[in-house]
Amino acid sequence: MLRYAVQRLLLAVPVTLGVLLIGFILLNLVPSDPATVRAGPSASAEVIAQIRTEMGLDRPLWEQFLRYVGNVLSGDLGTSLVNNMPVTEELSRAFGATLELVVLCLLWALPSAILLGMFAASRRGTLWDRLIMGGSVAGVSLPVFLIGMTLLWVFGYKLQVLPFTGRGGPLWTVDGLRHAILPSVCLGLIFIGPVARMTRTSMLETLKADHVRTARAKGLSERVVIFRHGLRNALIPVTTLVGLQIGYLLGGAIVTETIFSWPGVGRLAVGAIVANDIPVAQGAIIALSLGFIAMNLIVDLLYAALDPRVQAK
Amino acid sequence: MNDDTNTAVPNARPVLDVRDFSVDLTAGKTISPIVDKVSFEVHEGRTLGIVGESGCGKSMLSLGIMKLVPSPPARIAGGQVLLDGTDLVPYSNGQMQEIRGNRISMIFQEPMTSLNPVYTVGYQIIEALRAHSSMTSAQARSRAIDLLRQVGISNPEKRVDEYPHRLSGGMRQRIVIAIALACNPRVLIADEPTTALDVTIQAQILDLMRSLKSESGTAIILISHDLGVIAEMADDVVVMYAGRIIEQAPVHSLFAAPSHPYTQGLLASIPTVDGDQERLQPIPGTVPPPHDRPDGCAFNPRCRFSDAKCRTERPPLEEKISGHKVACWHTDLGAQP
Repeated sequence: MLRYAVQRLLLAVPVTLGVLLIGFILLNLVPSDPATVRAGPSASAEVIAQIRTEMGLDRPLWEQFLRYVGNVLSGDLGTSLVNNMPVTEELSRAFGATLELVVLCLLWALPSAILLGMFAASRRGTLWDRLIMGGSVAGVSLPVFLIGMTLLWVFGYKLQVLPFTGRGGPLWTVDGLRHAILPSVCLGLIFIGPVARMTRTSMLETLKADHVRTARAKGLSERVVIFRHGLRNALIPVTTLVGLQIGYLLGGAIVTETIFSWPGVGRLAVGAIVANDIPVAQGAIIALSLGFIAMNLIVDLLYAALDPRVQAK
Repeated sequence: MNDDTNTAVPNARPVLDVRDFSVDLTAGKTISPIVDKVSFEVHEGRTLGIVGESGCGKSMLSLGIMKLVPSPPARIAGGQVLLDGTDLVPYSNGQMQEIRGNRISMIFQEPMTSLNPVYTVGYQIIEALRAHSSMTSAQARSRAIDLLRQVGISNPEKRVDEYPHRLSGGMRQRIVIAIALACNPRVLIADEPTTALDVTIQAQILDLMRSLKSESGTAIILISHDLGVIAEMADDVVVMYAGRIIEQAPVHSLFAAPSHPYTQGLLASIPTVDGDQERLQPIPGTVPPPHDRPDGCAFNPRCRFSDAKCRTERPPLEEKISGHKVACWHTDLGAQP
């Protein structure tokens, strides 16, 4: 298990470097000059040229990239072009907020998705099954912004039962939790659909397996057969899907945070891109990517814990 | 074939007495019998072989005895399954859990898939032990190691913690047998236990089953399409066709004087080493599906003796000579294969 974990960790290194490279290239393609942004609208051409030299923007692109990677590795993501704050400081604040949102979303949506999928599988072909699967199609196909706006309009504006802008403090306070409900529900709804569907399919598949018949022939109770011999095996493909879905979740977080004014990395990235604040945008991309890589690492380890055949390979 | 001392039918009460047992299959609006009024007895320490082509209802019969038929679409439609005199058919699922793996256990055809890949083999044996006894986990573990040794697994103390994917097909089938034997069952149902294995491994597994039977006195139902395996293992044989028993006899009598044209066809389609025939003689056609069985004798479209009576009236299973029952209107003709 330890060897497998180290292997996975080492594989994350080239992926991270790739993320740095792509983030760097993309933002260099943006038709905007960081020196002009930093100098402000009223600066003269000489001042801008001087700032360009200071920032190293007159150096060849590859040299800029190497220096950038070096800085990132030493924990320096530069300073914001807009407010001169260190990017790491802005990110650490925003990352906590995003993590809070994603974790809260997973906490309620993952168990719900698995339970709904199992329930639909056990009531296969009934009205319940059709309702759950129909609902999951809606969750898969409705765009996040539509779900978000609807939630905001119904619960925030019409019924006025929940706050819908900003963060109300740490999650363990009542106000903090109340503020987090709508955005985490919005995120969760796009996550539940595919995961519930996969759980249902996988569960139906597993319950037909020979080893489940063996378990029944041993005289185990139906509950033990379904949970011990069905669910654990059925969760193996579901885990893979959850790993992929977390990517969508982080993408969805960008939209959700914007709708609900949640001060997370997604909103930071959008704001930075709009303001041409390249260091902050780059930092946000790196943070989101590292978050995705870390989540996938966890999923991979979970996968190996669920299925002993994985470690053997 | 077994030695002659063993072939006399004992008079004692059978361990398992199946009477007029039927299983129906629902497909859309049509309900068709896949096991149709089947009756047989199995006695302590004896082996009943059930033979037939794919689709004749052998596996559904064995799952039916365990009340494990996939329902829906299948359903036990009637009859009795008497285990030591008690009928299991009215039993609830909860009551059957006490019986399964404890008094009747089962070995399946596919050793590669019949163990759960995510649990160690030891865990899977211990699970069966603890489902039916109040053993502590330490006691169950040492019993599991004993069982592994008993089914011929070398180094059982180490193997007990292996996952199934690290074992060969033959070893996995031994594990499946160990699970089936865990609670010293009265009846062991083996559904094609050697079909998926190499010939040498097949012989080892059959040897193992034979020695276990003589040690424990467990009654065995051996389901196979392989007449060689049946000849070697069984004391009595039931031949099934299209969900019904068409011939039933002690093993010697069946192989010496196969009376139903279908049984004769099965025997004629086995290659023999010393046979002078140039070609094998396959039975033409296939087993009709449950929803499309012909009137009269179900075998009539494939039978070379069939006549008008065979196409309209179903022949009853009747005793022709002592202990040898046949369901055919033409057994006098059929006696010359």
